[in-house]
Amino acid sequence: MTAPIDGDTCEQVAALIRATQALPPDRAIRPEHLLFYDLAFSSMDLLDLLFRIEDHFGVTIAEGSLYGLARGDLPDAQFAEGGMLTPLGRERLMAVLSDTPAAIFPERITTDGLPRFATVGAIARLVDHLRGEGR
Amino acid sequence: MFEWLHTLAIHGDEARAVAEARVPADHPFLADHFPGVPILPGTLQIELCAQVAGPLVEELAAGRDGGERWAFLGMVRSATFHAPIKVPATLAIFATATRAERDSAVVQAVLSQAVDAVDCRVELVMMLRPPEPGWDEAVRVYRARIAALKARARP
Repeated sequence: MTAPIDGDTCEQVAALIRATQALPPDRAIRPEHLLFYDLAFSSMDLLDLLFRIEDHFGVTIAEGSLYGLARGDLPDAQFAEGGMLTPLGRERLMAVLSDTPAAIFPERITTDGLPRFATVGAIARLVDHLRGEGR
Repeated sequence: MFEWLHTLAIHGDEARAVAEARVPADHPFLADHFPGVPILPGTLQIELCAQVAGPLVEELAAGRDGGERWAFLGMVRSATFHAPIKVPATLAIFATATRAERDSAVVQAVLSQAVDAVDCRVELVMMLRPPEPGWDEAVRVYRARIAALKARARP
């Protein structure tokens, strides 16, 4: 997830975002754009986008993919507790979403809201990661 | 409100459900669709499919993690209507969960007027949420209704 973004993947993800949000073709979508902050995504928009990505790229993005990537090999109890990320879990999430401005992350982050902090580039990297795994 | 489902059988091990719906000809929803030629609107065909998809994915969720979940229609990914359904009508609805996760599930459903016919085909995304405070009575009534539908489906 920290690998450089594949420009072609990013362009394809941007096209899928335009389709999801019914944006005009000339609407600029950049890798650093935050889905929920810059592109006015709702949780249903995100689900719609993930389905489009699955259809387009032939990958499967299971619920909790970002959670799993951020947690890595950390024991679950050290990553999150009571539905909230631990301070260490928050650090891990910020490392995975390294192109998201640090100021966006609140001190307390609920585990079911992690995609809220993703950029277009992070989604493209997730796609490349899953394609690399052959999923 | 309309309650047109008559029976409901859920086969959790196969992630599928089968239901029968009986649509009357004189329901107010149908009065203008169309005067003298009542045809079941596509939106209500989708609703019937969602009414089968909901209990199916709730049961799958309960079987997986034991938690109480409440399903509601989140997205219609696709819907095609292959023939007009004149009412009154008795319809069969076949639903299969192709994906079931903690917070969402994808269900493909077919609505048929006759054996081997496909009159409506949909792919629905059902969202799953824990019941919220204050929903107790709604949940109780809903669960009782589903239990009655299942009881009617038993041979």
